[in-house]
Amino acid sequence: MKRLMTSPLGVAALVVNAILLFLVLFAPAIWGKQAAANDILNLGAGPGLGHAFGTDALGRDILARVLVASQLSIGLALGATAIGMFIGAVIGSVAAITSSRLRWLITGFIDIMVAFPGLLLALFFAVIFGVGPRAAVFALGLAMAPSFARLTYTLAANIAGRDFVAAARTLGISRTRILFRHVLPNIGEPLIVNATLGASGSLLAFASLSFLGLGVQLPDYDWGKMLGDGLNTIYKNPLAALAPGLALVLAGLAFNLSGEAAAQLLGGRVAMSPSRARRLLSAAFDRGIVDSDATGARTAGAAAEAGEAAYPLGKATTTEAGETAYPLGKATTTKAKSADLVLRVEHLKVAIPLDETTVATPVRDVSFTVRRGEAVGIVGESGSGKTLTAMAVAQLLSPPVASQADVMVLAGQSLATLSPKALRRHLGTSLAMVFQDPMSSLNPTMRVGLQLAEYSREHQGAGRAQAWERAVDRLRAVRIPSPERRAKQLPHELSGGMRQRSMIALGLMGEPALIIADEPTTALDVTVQEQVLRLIDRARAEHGAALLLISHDLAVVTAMCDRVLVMYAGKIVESIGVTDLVAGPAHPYTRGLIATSPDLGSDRDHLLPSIPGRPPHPGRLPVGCAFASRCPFATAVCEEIDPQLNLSTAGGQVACHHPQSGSVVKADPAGVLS
Amino acid sequence: MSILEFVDVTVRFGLGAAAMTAVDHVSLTVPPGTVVGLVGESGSGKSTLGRTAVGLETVTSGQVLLDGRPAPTRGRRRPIQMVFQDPAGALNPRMSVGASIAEAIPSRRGQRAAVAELLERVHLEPSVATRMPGTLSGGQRQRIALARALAARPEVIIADEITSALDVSVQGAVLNLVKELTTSLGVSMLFISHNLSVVRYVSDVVAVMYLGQVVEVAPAHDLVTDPRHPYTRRLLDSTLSIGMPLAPESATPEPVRFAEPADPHHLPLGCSFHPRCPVGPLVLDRPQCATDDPSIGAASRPHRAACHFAETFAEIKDSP
Repeated sequence: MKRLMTSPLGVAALVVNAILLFLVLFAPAIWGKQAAANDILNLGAGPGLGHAFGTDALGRDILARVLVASQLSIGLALGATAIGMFIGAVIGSVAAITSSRLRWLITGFIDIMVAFPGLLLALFFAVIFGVGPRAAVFALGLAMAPSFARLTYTLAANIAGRDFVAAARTLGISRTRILFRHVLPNIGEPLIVNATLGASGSLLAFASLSFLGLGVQLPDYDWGKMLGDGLNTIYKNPLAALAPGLALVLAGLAFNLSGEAAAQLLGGRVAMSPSRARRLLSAAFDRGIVDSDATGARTAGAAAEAGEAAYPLGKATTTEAGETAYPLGKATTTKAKSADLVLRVEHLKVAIPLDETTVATPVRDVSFTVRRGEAVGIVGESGSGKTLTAMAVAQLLSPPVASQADVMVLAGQSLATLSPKALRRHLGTSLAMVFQDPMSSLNPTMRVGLQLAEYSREHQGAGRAQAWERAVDRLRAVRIPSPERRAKQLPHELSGGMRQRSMIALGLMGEPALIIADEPTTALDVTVQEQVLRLIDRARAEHGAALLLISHDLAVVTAMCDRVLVMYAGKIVESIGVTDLVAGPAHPYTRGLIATSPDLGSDRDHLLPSIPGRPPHPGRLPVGCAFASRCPFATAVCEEIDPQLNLSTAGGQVACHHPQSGSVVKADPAGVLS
Repeated sequence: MSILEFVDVTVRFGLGAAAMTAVDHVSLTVPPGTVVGLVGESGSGKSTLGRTAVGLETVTSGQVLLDGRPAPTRGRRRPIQMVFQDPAGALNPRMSVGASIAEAIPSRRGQRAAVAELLERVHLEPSVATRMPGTLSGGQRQRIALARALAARPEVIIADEITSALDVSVQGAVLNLVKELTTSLGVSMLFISHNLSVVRYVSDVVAVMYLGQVVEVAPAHDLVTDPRHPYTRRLLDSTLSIGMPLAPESATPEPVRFAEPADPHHLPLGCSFHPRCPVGPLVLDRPQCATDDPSIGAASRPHRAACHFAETFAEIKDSP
């Protein structure tokens, strides 16, 4: 209700509906006498004293009659809608849960009925049922039923395909119970929204029937009938026709407004103005909900005060130049020259406005570098911010998601300083992206070869034939069989593995300095995963490209990368070389990830460890360490102070007040992670 | 304690040119109190086979038997239950957890206590009963889905990719629960997954499916240490574990290594794995693989392997 009151649409809908409701309920009582009284001195008069809209042929006040008619007009329209919706819902839901043969018959029947225009059906039924308001209501209701039936069927069939309905079926629950308990409650909202929108159509249709003389009969009157009567005197008193017409338009508008408001309320769409979202985001970035260097120094100091043992190399993370040193791989003691870096990201933050007041920060303060030819993995669970980090680097975030970084340098160019055109060109030539779902990253209506060739034409100035030749050559390079034929096919004609290989081929059209692969094999079968990983690996070796591999699977990352960044709740909690990671990382979360991953050597007689609890919501992050509530080593300090990345004895860097050491015990006899 | 048997089950979909055989003459037994793992890639027919047991798919030919009688797929008493992959779709979003579980309990009396007991069985607080599914994590929802299946007092549970959508940090809790339930309640389970590491961990016996056929069945340990079908070997080799580098490139010719799984609408003649087989007719001189169906006589080979060379597989596996 609060949400309804705060949006302009909701307020408008509420006000107009309140007026309509008042008229429907009380207009006949208040203006009924006036509407029936014959002013014999003013028959068919124009607007004037005492009759704001004039009078009709029998001297009755038109304004009063328009107001009184609202009860019948709206009542009949709603009645017809209710009948249409009821019949439609019954037919549609029966079709959704019945046997396939009956379903075929019913949906076929619905399809035929929907093909007829609604008004034609209404007229047809009206002729059968005879004249009069009751017959007209039924005629209109029946005419509306087919489209409601189709809608119900489509919605219900979608719900009926869900697992919980399948589970109910395997439990032996009857079809009617499944319908009433499982299907209908889940399609109620869209049905109601549609009925509200349908009501305005029915209002108009009913007015048409009355206008044609098939609807309301004397002595009753509704807007449609008044419109018909008023039309005869349109030259004498235009308001006699205009007033009921205006009433129709307003009531129709009110129904539509309510439909929209209901859709917004039930659908949970957040209609936030872009400027408001921008203000919220910049406030969030400024407020430092994401830790800056200053808070880092403060928390480190506070940790020392709190009696925490200082880390061996704790504060030595800043070099003479006063620049924070970023993990540059195992055993890197000298600071890498910036010419050596393909990617440098400092203090990257990503924020999403959730509602009018809160902003979620799925990436909080991420800094890392990738050297020329290096393979770096980002690993984390769903919601850890790993994909958003990659998307921010590729400049692929779009409103309302926003990112901000102090430094973002790709292949020697600071991305923030480039014009949009130069940025596109720079990203196009130095970055290749491979996504999880190749079906959505390839244009489904364009031949695969052409999509690849487009790159050469755009970025390398190649001619049509030359570009096509290169495309086929690249497809061959990713071992696609008969590439000449495959290049002429559309993406859906290729298998998932081949589509992913085509994406890699697309990345290899140029000479990318960096390949970002976001869960490239998650949607693929394991034997295909092997092929795709090998192709990425080979592409990297042949072109000297660096790789940023994002995955939830530590096994994939350790197979492909030199160094791993472990993300949790929007932060890098550990940065460690693969050899050190295998030997035993320092962060309890990284250790947990290793311990909980079953492999072909897991001890079948021991329980598998798991990490209790779940990651915090990015809009409700705790003050201290985000992992503290799930961590077996957490103490009071963890809940108060968010740990910063510091050099770790395990190699690399770790953000933890209680870093661990030693190798990870994979199967734990006690069954709980300790 | 019941025994679930798939006897020569075939499931076909579609008609004419679009027809495909999702499950092709599969015979598989789930003995009482054991977990049988069913592993295979997408499109191998493993889910379809599982769904026939609960009547969600109809068998074209063959039979699904529970204790020698056709598995009941009608009526209120359903001794075979199924748990699904997607934790988001597993529970009705408009029903409280308690109501979802209670619905599965056959008797009307003492439902509240029964729900609390079931929740405890899957290591959740009884107070969870009043929550709506939207407020729970994926791992919690999968445990509730298990509790709902248990509420029907099943003899066999079909678990179809129940941990595939879960993060690895919570997967362990669900897998442990699977093991615990089968040992403490004596429920048998058909555990379907594409992840061989997970299947090996929870299952006593593992069956491997490829393009609608079971190509190898063996106790979990034997299957992993001594596979008899080249496809099983391929699965094992492709399964990564933490710290393991990408396997060195094998000597198998590239066209075979990078071959796509066959189109299920147009299966190759002979052994359906032969176009991808590193010890098949495209690599070695073995013409019968491209002509003779290896499922004939599989029952007498080690691990019931559908491979003409199952007996000698271990010796030649590294030779090419």
